[in-house]
Amino acid sequence: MSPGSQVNGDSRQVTFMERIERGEKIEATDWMPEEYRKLLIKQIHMHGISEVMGAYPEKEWVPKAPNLRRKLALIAKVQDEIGHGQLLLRVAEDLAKPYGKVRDDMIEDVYTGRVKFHNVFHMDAPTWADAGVIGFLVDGGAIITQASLLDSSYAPYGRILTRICAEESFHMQHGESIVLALAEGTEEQREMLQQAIHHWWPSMMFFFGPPEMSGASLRMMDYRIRTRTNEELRQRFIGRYAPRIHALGLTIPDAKLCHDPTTDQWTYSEPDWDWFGHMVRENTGPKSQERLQMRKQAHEGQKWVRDAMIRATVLQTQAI
Amino acid sequence: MADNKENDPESQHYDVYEVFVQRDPLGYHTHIGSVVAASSEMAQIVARENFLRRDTAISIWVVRQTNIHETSYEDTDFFVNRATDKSYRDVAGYVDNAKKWKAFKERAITIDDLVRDAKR
Repeated sequence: MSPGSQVNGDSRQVTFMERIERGEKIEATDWMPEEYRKLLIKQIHMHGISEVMGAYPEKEWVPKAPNLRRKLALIAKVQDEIGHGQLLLRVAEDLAKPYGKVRDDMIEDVYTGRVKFHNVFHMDAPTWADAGVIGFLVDGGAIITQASLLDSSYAPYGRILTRICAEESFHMQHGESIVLALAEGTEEQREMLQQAIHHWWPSMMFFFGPPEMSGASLRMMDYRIRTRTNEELRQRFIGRYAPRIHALGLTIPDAKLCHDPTTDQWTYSEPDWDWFGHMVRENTGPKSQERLQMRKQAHEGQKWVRDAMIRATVLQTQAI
Repeated sequence: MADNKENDPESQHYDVYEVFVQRDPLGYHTHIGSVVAASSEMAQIVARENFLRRDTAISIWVVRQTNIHETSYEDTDFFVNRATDKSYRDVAGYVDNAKKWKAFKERAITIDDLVRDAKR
């Protein structure tokens, strides 16, 4: 399925695919096929919005953090997530310019249901252990995905991910620090941690997507927007995190989970694809509606500030 | 400033352009210096001749100096947010993790391990 064959006789398409196949990087100002542009917008818009929505489960724990240092660290992390959202939406905006899409549209799309966000951020975080496990497993999974995108064919995406990954490094250590503190704590704390691992594991299996990838995902592989399959990423995640959870003396809620040393592959129980898929499409997760409502409220409630800034700038320009 | 619209050629001067060079496809444009030139096209050529006689690069940005809005070096308050301890925000603030993983007979991993995984 050569993308070049879709637009017969369009030499630009052919030249573009040759560039991709040579491993060249594409810039925002380069000519690109509309399909490539649309796939990138879909991916980066969803990624950016997921960063923003990713701040919500953890922000809930800021007022309840067990001490000041944890509270400061959690605030720092929430700031980082929103910051990553801003950087990614900026990359998406440049791509969406030909369609007249601006920041407001990109933000509003999440609560009008035109853009989805990662399944993990629809879930509830009932205990402090959940706040830790989000940093441990969810950030771990997100880093594995993002690290695989560092070599994306779209240079502005790869560049911004380099910066994001550097900051994620702190998120990873922060999450592990909470998890380790609980793991070496009382029986009650260990039980809380165990519950949180059980709570998040199926979500993490869904996080990387189905082994059989969708048409759009496969096209992203053709264009080298991404270079790893869902299954490769999931295998790396399990390979890194299952042994760590076991080392803590905790269990993973999957009787099928085991490692085959000859193939270096893990067998695992598939998550409920339909349930999670429906949740992400329809925003029907335990916390989807509540968080979307907060996002809408934040965006619309602050509209007057954005408007006032624009009016002030216009007045200033007129005065000169 | 000098938009070259004055009638008297003697009072006309080249504009200053700040120069940013990108060295590889995944690199950032980095400020390297400035040039004076009669147009942005000329500024690019002068920048190439001034800064890239030996080094290679893949892209140059030239930006009219008047279009750059800088912070003041005197206004140190602007950066005062580094005045308090921020180790809670840095990887270095979590060195204990490695010791603790060891106590659980596991090796600590870093983001670099995960990045290497991705390239495997």
